[in-house]
Amino acid sequence: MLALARNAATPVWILLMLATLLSWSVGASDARATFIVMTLGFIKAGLVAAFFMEVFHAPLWLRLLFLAWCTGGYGAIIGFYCLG
Amino acid sequence: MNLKQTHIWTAYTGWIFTAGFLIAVCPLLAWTIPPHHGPSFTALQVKQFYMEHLNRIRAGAFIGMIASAFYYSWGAAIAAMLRRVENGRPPILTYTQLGAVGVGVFNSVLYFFWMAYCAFRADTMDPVMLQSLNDFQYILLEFEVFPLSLWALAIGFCILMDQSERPVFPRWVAWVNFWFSGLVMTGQFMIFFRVGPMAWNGLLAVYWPAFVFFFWICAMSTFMIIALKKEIGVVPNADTQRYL
Amino acid sequence: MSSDTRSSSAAALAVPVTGRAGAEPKATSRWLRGHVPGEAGIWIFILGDMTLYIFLFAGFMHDRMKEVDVFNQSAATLHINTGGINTLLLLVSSILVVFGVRALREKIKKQYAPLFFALAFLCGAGFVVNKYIEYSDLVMKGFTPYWNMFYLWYYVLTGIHLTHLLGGMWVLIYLFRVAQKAQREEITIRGVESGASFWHCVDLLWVVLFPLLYLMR
Repeated sequence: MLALARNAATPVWILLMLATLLSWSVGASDARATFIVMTLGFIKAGLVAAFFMEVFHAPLWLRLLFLAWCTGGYGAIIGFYCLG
Repeated sequence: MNLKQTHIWTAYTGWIFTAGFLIAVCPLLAWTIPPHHGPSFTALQVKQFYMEHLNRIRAGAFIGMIASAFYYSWGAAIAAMLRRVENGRPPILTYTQLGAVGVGVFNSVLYFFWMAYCAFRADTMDPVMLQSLNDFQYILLEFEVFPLSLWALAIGFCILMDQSERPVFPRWVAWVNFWFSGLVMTGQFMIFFRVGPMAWNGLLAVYWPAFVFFFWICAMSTFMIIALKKEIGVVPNADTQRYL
Repeated sequence: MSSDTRSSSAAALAVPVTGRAGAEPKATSRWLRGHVPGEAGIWIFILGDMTLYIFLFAGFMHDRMKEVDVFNQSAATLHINTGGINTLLLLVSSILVVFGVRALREKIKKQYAPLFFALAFLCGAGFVVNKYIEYSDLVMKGFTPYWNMFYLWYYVLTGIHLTHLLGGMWVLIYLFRVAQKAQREEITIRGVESGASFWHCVDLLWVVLFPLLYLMR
């Protein structure tokens, strides 16, 4: 069974679980907390894409499209947040 | 003039429909995509809009009605191209598509018909009645989407089942159809809301389905033209061995 | 890892318009080198879905900008703990799906593959139950989609996500059945990878939705 876990996805998963617990505990309070949890959120999304969806080993066009999505999404959210 | 050329012309009807539809609804004419106003406009404001743009709306309806006719030849062409995939079995998916073409065209025709109807006597009509008739246009445009979803599902399945040497459409186009099928439906909920992204002038009711719809038409038209030019699906000696 | 258990998607990608059978991957350019998980078309579906969400995020944030206080106050009424548990549930289900796919693809502990997908399905079911509890609690307090713009967006964002999740659960059933079939005969891994990618997409979207809706102040 350990052979199955011996894969890049497993440590990434542990990282994701910890990051979730971190965001959950930082919680909702002010602008700084919001920046932290939003940034963590998109980093987590990128990790899910890269290691669970295996985009990390995918051709360049797919990796760039995911990067564009993460950048666009993050930019849009943080951009509007700063304007508000 | 030969049949191959005629068929290629029908493949271009998708582009003609698209261009005509977009010109008809753009802010220069009918101003419905992007919508000039929303459900929160009062009856008097709606009447004022019609008074200021009366002939432009009528012109839009006129162009749109003509463009709508090109929609059914496009739909028929796709169904005909994909019929060969069901060779040997009852052409159920093909007939589903043809039925859906009817609904889609009906949708488009009635939309421009209604636009014309609203604009016909808008100058003397009671504002409240005009507002209600105006709502009808948008509900028709955005609420009748699920029939299109089923249409795209049928097309998608046909494409996936195409195991031939030279498939009519590339396999990934089936996924464009599935994407269209699932995501054009965001407009279906517009009936529940009069404000926000789900209202008939909102992001999810107008802008997103319009984007998905036109992406779909462009993708399907492009590949249909390519396939017809390459004569995919044509039996060898089709032009010489005619029926008697 | 033998190359014939890999999907033929790289080949399909290099020669998109002609037939698929037996096409050798000629792609050597940087753009095309690499393994496309599942088939190329599923990425149109997934990226297309994600595109909708970018517009949804932008729309939400744009409306938030107009009434920040209302949004902040309303967000405070949401159940952060349920949201957090849901995030963990989806992450657990995702790693289970990763294990399931690896089990089938690399044939390590292949017999556990159906179990992994079944457990992932249960995690998804747990998410649905949580969502039901959340929604019914909010509605009982009067916070329906008609209450204010925040709740409208909340129900729209989580509702569309929920439909994707329910679709994903169907996909997990399909993966479960393919995994069962794989115990007896050879299967192509392409469909399994495609389905798994869709489930990860559902997880990915929630991972962004959780801070956006529940934690943003």
